[in-house]
Amino acid sequence: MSQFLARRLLAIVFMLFGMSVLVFGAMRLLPGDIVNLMVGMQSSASAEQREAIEGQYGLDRPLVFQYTDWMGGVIRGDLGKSMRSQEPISHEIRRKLPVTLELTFLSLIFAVVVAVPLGIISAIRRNSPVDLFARILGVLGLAIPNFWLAIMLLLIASRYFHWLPSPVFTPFFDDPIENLQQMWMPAIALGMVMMANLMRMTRSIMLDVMGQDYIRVARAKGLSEWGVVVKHAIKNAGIPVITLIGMNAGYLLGGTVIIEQIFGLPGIGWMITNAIFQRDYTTVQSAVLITGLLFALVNLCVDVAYALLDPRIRFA
Amino acid sequence: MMQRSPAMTAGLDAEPLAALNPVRKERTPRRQAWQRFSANRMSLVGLAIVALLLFLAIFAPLVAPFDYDEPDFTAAWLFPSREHLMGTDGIGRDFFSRIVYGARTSMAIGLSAQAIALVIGLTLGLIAGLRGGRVDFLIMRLVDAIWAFPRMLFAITLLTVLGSGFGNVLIVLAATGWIPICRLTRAQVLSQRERDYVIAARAIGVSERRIAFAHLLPNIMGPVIVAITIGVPEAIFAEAGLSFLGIGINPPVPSWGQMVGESMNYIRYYWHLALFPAVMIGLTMLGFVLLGDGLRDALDPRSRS
Repeated sequence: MSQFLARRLLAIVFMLFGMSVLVFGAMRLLPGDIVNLMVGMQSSASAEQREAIEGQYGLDRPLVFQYTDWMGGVIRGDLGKSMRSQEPISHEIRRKLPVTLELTFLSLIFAVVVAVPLGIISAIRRNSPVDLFARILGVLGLAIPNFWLAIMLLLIASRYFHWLPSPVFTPFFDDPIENLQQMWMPAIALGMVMMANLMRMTRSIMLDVMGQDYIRVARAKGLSEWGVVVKHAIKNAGIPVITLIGMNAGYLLGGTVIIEQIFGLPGIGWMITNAIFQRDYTTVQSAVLITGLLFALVNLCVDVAYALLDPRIRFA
Repeated sequence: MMQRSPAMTAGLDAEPLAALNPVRKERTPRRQAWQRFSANRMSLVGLAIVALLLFLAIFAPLVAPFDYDEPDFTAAWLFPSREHLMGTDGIGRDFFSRIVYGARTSMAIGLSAQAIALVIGLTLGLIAGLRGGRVDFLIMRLVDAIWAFPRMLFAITLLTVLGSGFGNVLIVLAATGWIPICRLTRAQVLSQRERDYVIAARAIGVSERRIAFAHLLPNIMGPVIVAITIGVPEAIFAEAGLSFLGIGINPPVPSWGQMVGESMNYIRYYWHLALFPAVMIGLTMLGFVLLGDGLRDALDPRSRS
């Protein structure tokens, strides 16, 4: 177990290193740099002014040094300062990451709460109206583009209910009700695809389990149908479903960019996109690295949970 | 695609068996797969939808009644009518024609991105699975590094570097699309490479390259084909999302995602401008999802119920 963890953590370090090089390189390749944007429209900006700005950010130094400066800071826990606002990037991340995490978490809850019971019922009552409804919902959920669903939710709310959430974001701990009013639509729009996927998977895994010998044995020994489902089927279908939930959590984390944009939520995806357009190199690099780390840790937790739940899986 | 390599059936001495029992000859794996596939009505619906979209994409100039980029300022903002089946947009372009050409954009992006991804993913997956060791380690770390990057952010970053446009969208989507195929191929190779037919082929001196392409490849194609039917709509969807954000396909080339994005501001008044492209994206996803389900049931023996 500890060997497995050590190996995985080492792999994560490698991966983050690769990612940091990729992002660093991509940012330097962007057409138009921050100096151009800062001196702005003044074509009169002298060469000295440009050099002064470059010197201030260390952009005149060789790329290798720029990279090691940044990386050295990150390793010591200093993510650097935004080239735009001069604010430490860690402050901004601390403000914006919770928004994305909350959105991800709420979508996950929506998906699980709807998908798992629906998937189980539709598998047990195969070919019933509930099953038909679940299957249609499963296909529609995959087919409807999430950005369109987001717009539709906003449109229906404003047109038929004359209600729109406040455009200024309220953090959860400032006013939970206000916050949830703002978050429920983005959470549904983001979670719909996952809900559909999870429901389809739950259904097919349950169907698979219900056909196993031990289910027949449980029935044969006179267990009630309810007992069969609760005691034997759900227990055995649980492991793959839980893995799927974990795997999708990472996927959701990355899928927030468009949804954050449509609903104007100040999350990390929005922060990175903005920073890209402003050529704020350090912010993009550090924020992307943090997202990657989070993503990797979520996946690691899923793998560990998987192995702990299923004794057949060994840490290999 | 589903043909077993000769080495696999070598132990059974297939030919005398077939001679003894001529009926067996008709039950080729491919035919069995088709029977399983066509037994499910929903997968046929999926196939029909995909075929229709391909038809629209290929014969767009014949189907579309107007030019997709011909403005007619006297006929702007029209609602659907007999002349303009889906109405017209803000500068009077026939919306139906733009939708039809949008199919061409979507299909071209989805299919070619996935074709590139397939070549890269298969090759690297085969190499990683067969070579193992350091090569495998390096390829898989590259896979992890790209995969850890949320796909949409990766695409947005690269597109700001490269600039928007058809070719660059294609590059960006292929750059991320090969990852699942590579992983799947490697996993399949790992599960197959110790099988008897591979060992037998190696024992009689078949080259590694030939083992990879002539023996392993046909046996792992089933799951890979299923992965492609998932990858194509994912690429189409990603293109729609990018074009929706305004960094995907450049106007005036029509793209459904871009059309939804443009119509967002007028959605309260001109419902048709947001509805039709969204329905088309949905229909495309629906077609590929159903097709993929059918193919998985037909080609992946484990998932059969």
